[in-house]
Amino acid sequence: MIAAALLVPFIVGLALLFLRKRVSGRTAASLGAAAMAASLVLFALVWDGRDEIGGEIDESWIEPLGARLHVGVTVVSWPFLLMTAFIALLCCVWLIAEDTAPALVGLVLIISASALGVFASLDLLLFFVFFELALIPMWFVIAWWGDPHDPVGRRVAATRFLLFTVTGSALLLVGIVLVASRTGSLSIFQTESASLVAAVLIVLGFAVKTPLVPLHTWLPDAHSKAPTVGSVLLAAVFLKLGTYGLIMLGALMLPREFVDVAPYVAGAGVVGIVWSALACYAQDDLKRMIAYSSIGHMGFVALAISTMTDIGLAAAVFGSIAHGLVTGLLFFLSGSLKDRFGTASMRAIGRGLYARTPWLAVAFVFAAVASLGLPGLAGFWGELLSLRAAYEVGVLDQPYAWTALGLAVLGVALTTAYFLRAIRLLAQGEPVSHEGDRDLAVREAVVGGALALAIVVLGLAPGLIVGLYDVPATLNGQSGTTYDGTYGPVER
Amino acid sequence: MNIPVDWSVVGPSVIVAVGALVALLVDAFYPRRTWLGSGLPASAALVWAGFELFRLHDEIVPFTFALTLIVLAGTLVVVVASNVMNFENAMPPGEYHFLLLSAAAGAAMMVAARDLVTLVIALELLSLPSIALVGLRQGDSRAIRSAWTFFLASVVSTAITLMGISLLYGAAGTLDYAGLAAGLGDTELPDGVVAVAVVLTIVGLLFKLGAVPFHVWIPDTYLGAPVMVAGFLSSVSKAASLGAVLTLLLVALPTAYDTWSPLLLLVAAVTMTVGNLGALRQTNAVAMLAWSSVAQAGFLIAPVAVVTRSGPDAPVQYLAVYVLANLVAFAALAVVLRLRGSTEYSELRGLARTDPPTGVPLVMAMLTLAGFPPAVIGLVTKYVVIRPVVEADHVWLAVVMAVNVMLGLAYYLRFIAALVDRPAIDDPYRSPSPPVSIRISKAAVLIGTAGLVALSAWPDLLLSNLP
Amino acid sequence: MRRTWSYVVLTAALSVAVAVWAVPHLEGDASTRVWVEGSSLLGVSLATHVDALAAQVLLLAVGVGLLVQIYSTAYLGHHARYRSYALVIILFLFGMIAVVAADDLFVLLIGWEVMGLCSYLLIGHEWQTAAARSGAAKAFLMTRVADLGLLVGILVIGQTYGTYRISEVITQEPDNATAIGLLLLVAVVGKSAQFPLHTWLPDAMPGPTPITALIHAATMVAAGVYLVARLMPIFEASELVMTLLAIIAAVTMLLGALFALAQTDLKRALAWSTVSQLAFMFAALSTGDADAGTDHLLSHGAFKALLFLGCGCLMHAVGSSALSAMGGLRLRMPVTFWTMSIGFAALAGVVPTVGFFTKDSVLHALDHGRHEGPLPEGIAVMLLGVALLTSFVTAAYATRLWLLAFLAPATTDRAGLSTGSRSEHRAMTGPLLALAVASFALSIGQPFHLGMGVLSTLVAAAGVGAVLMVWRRGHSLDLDAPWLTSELGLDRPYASWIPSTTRSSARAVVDVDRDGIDAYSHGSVRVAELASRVLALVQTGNVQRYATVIAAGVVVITAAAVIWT
Repeated sequence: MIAAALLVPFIVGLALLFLRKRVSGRTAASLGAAAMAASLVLFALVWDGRDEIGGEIDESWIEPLGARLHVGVTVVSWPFLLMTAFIALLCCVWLIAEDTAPALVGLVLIISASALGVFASLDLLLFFVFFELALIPMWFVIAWWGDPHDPVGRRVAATRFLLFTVTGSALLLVGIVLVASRTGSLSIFQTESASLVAAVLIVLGFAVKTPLVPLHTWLPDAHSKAPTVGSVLLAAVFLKLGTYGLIMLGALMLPREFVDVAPYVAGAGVVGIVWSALACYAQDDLKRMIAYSSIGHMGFVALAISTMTDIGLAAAVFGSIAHGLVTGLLFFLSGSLKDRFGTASMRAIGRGLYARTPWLAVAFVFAAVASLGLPGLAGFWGELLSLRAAYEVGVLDQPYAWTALGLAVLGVALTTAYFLRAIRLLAQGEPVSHEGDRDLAVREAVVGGALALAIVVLGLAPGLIVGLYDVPATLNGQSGTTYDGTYGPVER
Repeated sequence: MNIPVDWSVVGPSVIVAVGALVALLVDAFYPRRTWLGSGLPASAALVWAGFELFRLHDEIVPFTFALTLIVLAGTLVVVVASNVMNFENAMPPGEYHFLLLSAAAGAAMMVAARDLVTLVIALELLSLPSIALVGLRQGDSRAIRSAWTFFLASVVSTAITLMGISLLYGAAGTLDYAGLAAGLGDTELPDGVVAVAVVLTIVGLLFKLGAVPFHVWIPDTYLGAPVMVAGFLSSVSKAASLGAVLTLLLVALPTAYDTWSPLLLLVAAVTMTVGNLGALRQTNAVAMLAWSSVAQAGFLIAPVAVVTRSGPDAPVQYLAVYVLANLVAFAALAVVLRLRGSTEYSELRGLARTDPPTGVPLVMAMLTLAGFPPAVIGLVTKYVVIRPVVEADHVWLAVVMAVNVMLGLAYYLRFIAALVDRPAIDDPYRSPSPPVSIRISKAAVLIGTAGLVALSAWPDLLLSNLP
Repeated sequence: MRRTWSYVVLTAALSVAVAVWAVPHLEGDASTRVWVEGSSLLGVSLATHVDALAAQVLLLAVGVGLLVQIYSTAYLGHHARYRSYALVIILFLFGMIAVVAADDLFVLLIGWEVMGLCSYLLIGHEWQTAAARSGAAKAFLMTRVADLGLLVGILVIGQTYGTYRISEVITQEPDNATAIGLLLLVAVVGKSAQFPLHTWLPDAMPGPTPITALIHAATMVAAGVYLVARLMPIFEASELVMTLLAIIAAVTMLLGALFALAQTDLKRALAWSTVSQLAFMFAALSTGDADAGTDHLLSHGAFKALLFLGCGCLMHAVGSSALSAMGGLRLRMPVTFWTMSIGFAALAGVVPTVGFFTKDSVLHALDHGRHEGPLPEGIAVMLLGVALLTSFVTAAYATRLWLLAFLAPATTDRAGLSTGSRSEHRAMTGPLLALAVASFALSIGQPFHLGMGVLSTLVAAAGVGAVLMVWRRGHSLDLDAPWLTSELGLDRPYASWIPSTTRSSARAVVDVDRDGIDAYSHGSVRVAELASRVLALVQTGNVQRYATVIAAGVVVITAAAVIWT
C-alpha cells in the first residue's frame, strides 16, 4: 500500500512529463490531483498505531553498503506525510486552469512524491536519495515557471536555492556516511552512538534546509521568485524536510550527540525568530515577507526540537504541520494577488482590497491572523508548545532556555506588528480600483477553503497531533523528561 | 633480472595488440576508407579479449579483473562511437583503430602490471599512440599543437616516473611489486630517499590521471583532439593510470603508506577543487568535460589515498561509473559535433527536446557525474568514495568533497538546463535521416545510457559484482 | 431589513441559550464540567466552570450584546458591510463566553484573544479612514503584546500547579504567586487599558459606537477585572502584585478622570471615563474584595453601555462626536436625553442608580482594606484618598458632559434635524430604555454602607455643584490645561518611539541581511569566479608555462613528502 502511495504520484508525474504535448493543462492538473488524493488516502489508511511501523516494506537494495529499501509510516512521519500529500493535492487543484503547463504539474508531482519518499524512508541512504531527488525538479519549477517579469532573477534565485541546499545535503551525506561507518548500520533507528562530528554535519545539513539563521539567505529569493505552487511547496514541504530531518535524524537518531548541538540550534532558532520578524517589517514584496516569516516559524520549531522533550517533539511536529498549512495558504493567496496584479509589491497592489476583492482580502486576513499565532487557529499551538518546551528547559540550561523564551515572545510581538502592517497596506485603506480586481475563482476558493478548514480544525483540536506523542505517566505541565527514544521500534 | 611473462597478465593486452595489427592490415589491403572495415576487427579483438579475460577470471585478482574489464569495455564503446567520424576525410580509419587499440593494449597491460618494467612499457604503449591519436586529424594545426603539449607532458611524466623507479630499484633491489613491498620494509636507505622515490613514481602516474598541478595539459589536449579521442583519454587512459597507481600503492608500496597517503589526500582535495573551479566558467561542453574530468580525478584519488586501509573496491566502482558516464557524454558530443559543428552550450540549447537520443543521454550522464538522482548510481558511488575517507578519519576531506559536489552541480546543472531548455525557434539541425554511421554511434550512446539507467535502478548490480 | 434582523435573531438565540445555561447558577451553585478531555501531554481540555459571578457576567455580555445587535440594525443596517459587522459581533460574544465560562486557562486564552481580534476587526470597520486603521492596529498590538504575559503566565501556572484548570489551581496552596501574578498583571493591564498601557482605548474610538459600548465599555475591557477576580487566590498571595495593582489603579483612575474632564470630544471623554472606572474596579480588587470589584463591573457595564449607545444616537443625529457640534439636544432627542441623564447620574454616583451602590461598595472595600487585606496600610490610605478625589472629578466631568451635550445652546443650525422622537429610531431608543431600566433595577439587593454612602454622596454633590456653579456664572466649561488635553504625552512611546525604533532596526536588519550575512555566499561566488579566472590564466596554450607549473608542482610535492617523512 505504501509503495502504491509513493509510486502513483511518481508514475503520473513522469507520464505527464512525457505526454506534456498530448494533454491539456486542465486535464494534467486533474490527473495530478487524483493521484495525490489517492496517495493521501493510502497514507491515511496505512497508519497502524503509534507503536507500529505502518505499511512497512523492508527489501534488500544495495547489499554491500547495507542500504535497504526500507519504508514505513512512523508516529513522527505520519503527520508530515499527510500534510505533504494534502498540500500537493491542493497545488494540483490550484493548477486546474487553462494556462497551466502540463510539465509543471508533472514536476510538482515528482517533487511531492520525493518529499513523501523522504518522510517514508527508514533507511538513511534511501532518505538521502529522495532528499536529493526533489531538488533539480524544483530548480526547473523556479527557473522556468517563476516570476514572469524577471527571467534572470528567477534563474539566479533557483540556482542559489539549489547550491545552498546541495551544500547542506552534501554535508548531510558526509554525516550519514559517518554514522554508518561508526555504527555499521544505515537504519534510521540507530541504537549506538555515532560521533559529535556526525551530529554537527547532519544538523548543518538540515539547518540549510530548515533554514536556520545565518544559513537562510537563499530562502527569500527562492520563495519570492518561484511560481505560486513552487512557493507553496518550498514553504510547506521543503522546509519540513529540514525540520523532519532535525527531529528524526538529529534529536531522535543521535540523542546523545544532539544534546551538545542543541544549544546552538536553539540559539539560531530564536535569533532567527527576532531577526526574520524585523526583516519582515521592512518588506514591500508580500512573498518576500511571507518567506521571511517562514524563517521565524521554523525558529520556533528549532527551539522546540532543541529542548529534546516530549512536548518539544510534539511542538516541533505541530509547528511544522501548522506552518505548512498556514504559510501554504498565505502563498496561495499571494499567488492569487500576483496573478491579478503582476506583482507582489504591496504598494503596487494597492489598498482597500476589502472593497475591491472582498473574499480574497478576508482569506488573506484570516491567513495572516493564523500566521501571527492567534489562539484557536493552528499557528498558535505550534508556537505555544514550543514556548512551553523552552519554559520546561529540557536539555538546555535554564537561563539560556528562558532567555530564548523571552526572545521568542518578543518575536511573537513583532510578528503581530508586521502582519498588521501587511493587512493595513493591503486590505484596508481607501480603495483605488485596478483592472486586476477579481475576487477568488472557484479553484482558489476551494484551495483556500480547504486550508482554512484544516487550520481551524487543528486550532480547535490540537490533540489530533499532540495526542500522537502522549506520554501517559507524566502530569501535564511537568513533563520535563527528555526524550528517551520510545518512538519507533528502537530494538531494530 | 628475470621478468616472468604470465599469460594471465598479458593475455588480453596481446589479443588487443593483435587486433590493432589486424585492423591496420585490413585497412591497408582494403583502403576503402570506411570505418567498419577496420572497426569490425578492432571490435572483435576487444570482445575476444573480453572473453579471454572472463576465461582467466579465477587467475586474476578481482580488482585487476575489474580494471581490465573497464579498459576493454571503454575502448569498445570508443570504437563503436568513433563511427561518427566516417566519411571524415581527414581521419584515416585504419591508423585510428591501430593507434587506439595499441593504446588500449597498453592500458590493459598497465593495470595488470606487477612489476615496474612492465609498468613503464605499458605506460609508453599507452602514451605514444595516444599522442598520435590526438594529432591524427590531418591538416588541423590545433590538433598538432595539442599533440605537442600532450607529448611534452608525457615525456616529462615518463621521465619523472623513471627517476622514481630507479630510486625504488636502488632502495629495494627489485622491480617486482611483491619484492618491493618486502624490500622497502627493511631498506638501509634514509627515509627521505625512499619518500622521494615513492613520490616521483606516483607523480608520473598522476600526470596521466590529470591531478593538480599536473592537469595543465588536459584542457588544451582535449579541446584539440577529436572528441572521441578526448573521450578515450578521459576514460580509458585515466582508468589505466588510476589502476596502475592503485595496484602500485596496494601491492608494492603499502609500507610507505605514511608517505603517500597524506600527499594523495591533499592532491585529491586540490584536484577536485581546481577542476571544478576551472569548469565553472566554461561554455563549451568539451572544455567543461575536460575540467570536470580533472575534478573527477580528485574524487578518484581520495579513496586511493586510503586504499591500504579500505581496499580497492571504492575507487574501482567509482571509476566504472565515471568511465561509463563520461563515455556516454563524449560519444553524444561527438555525434552533436558531427551534426552541428560545435559543442558550445548555445548551440546545444534544447537538444533534449529536438534530438532526445543524444540530448537525454547527455542529461543522464551529467546527472551521474554530478551524483544526483534520478541518476542514483552517481549518488551511490559518491557515497562509496566518501565512505573510506570518513572511515579513515579524514572528515575534512569528506567535507571538501561535499563542497565540491555543490561546485560540480553548479556547472553540470548549467549544461543540463541548456540541454532541456526550449530550443531556439528554428532549429536548422533537424536532419530527418542521419547516415548509418551516426546511428551506430547513437546506438552506443543509448546502450551506455541504458547501462546507467539500469545501474540507477539497481545499484546492487555494480556494487555486488565489481570487483 | 429582514436581512439585518436575521443576525439579531441569531444573537437572540445565542443569548437565550446562554441565559438558560447561566440563570440557574445565579444563586451560587457553581458547576464545573469537562466537555472534551485533553490528552495528558497537551493537558488542555474543553472545560467550563460557571458560578454566580460567571453567570452574572455572562448575562451582562449576552444582554448588552443583544441590545447592541438590535441597536446596530438602525445604526449600521444600511451599511454595505453590515453582514461582516454583525457576524464579528457574534464571534466576539463567543469569545467573551469562552473567557467567562472557561475552566481551562487555554480556553480562556483562546476567548481572550478572539475578543482581541474581533475588537481589531470592529475598530477597523471603517478602514477607509486613517484613524480607524491606526486605532485598530494600536489596540490589537498593545493588547496582544500584553497578552503574551498571560500566555507565559499560563505556562508558569501549568508548570507550578500541574494543571491548567482554574478550579484545580485555585484550590491548591498558592505557589510562585509573585511571578504568576506579575505576568498575568501585564495582560490584565493591557486588556483593561490601565496605566501605562492605557492609550489604546481612547484611540479605539473611531470604531462604530455600538461596538464601543459592547467591547470597549461593557465586556472585553472588563475581562481583565474578571480574570483577576477569578484568580484572586493567586493574586492575593503576593503583596507585591497587589500593591502594584493598587498603584496602577490609583494612577489610572485619576488620570482617566482628569483626561475625561478636559476632553472636547464626547466619545473620547467617555473612553477616558471607562479607563478611570475600570481602575476603580481594580482598586477594589487590590484590597482583596472581589465582589465589590465585580459588582462595579456589572453596573458599569450597564450604564456605560447606555452612555455609549446614547452617544451613538447623538452622533447619528449630528454626524460628529465633538461636543462643540452638540448642545441643545434636550428637546430634539428626549429619549436620548432622559436615558443618558440616568447614565450620567449613575456615572456620577447619584442615589438611587446602580452606580451609586457599587461605587459605595468599592469605597467601602477600600476603607476596609486599610485594616486588613493584602495591601500595606499606607498604600490603602492613599488609594482611598485618590478614589474619593476621583469620585469628585468623575461627578464633575459627568455633569460637564451632560450640560454640554444637551443643555448648552446649539452652536449650529439644526434645521435639518426634526424635532421630537422622530429623529430617534425605535431600534436605537429601545436598547437605551432597557439599559436605563437596568441602571435602576440592578440596584435592587445591592449592599449599602451608610457612612461611606453619605460621604460619597457629598463628594459627588460637590463635584456636580462645582460644575453647575461655573455653568451658572456663564463661564466656559472647557479647561484651559494643555497638559491635560495632550494627555501628558503618555502616548508618545507607543505612537512614535517604539514604531520608529522598530522601523529603523527593521531597515538595518534588511541591510545587514543582504550585505552582511549574505556576504559569505556572494563572497564565495566571487572567490570561485576569481579562482576560475586565475586558473584560466595558466591555460594559454603556452607549453613553457605548463612546464613551469609542472616543475614547480613536482618540486613542491617532493619537498613536502621529504619533510613529512
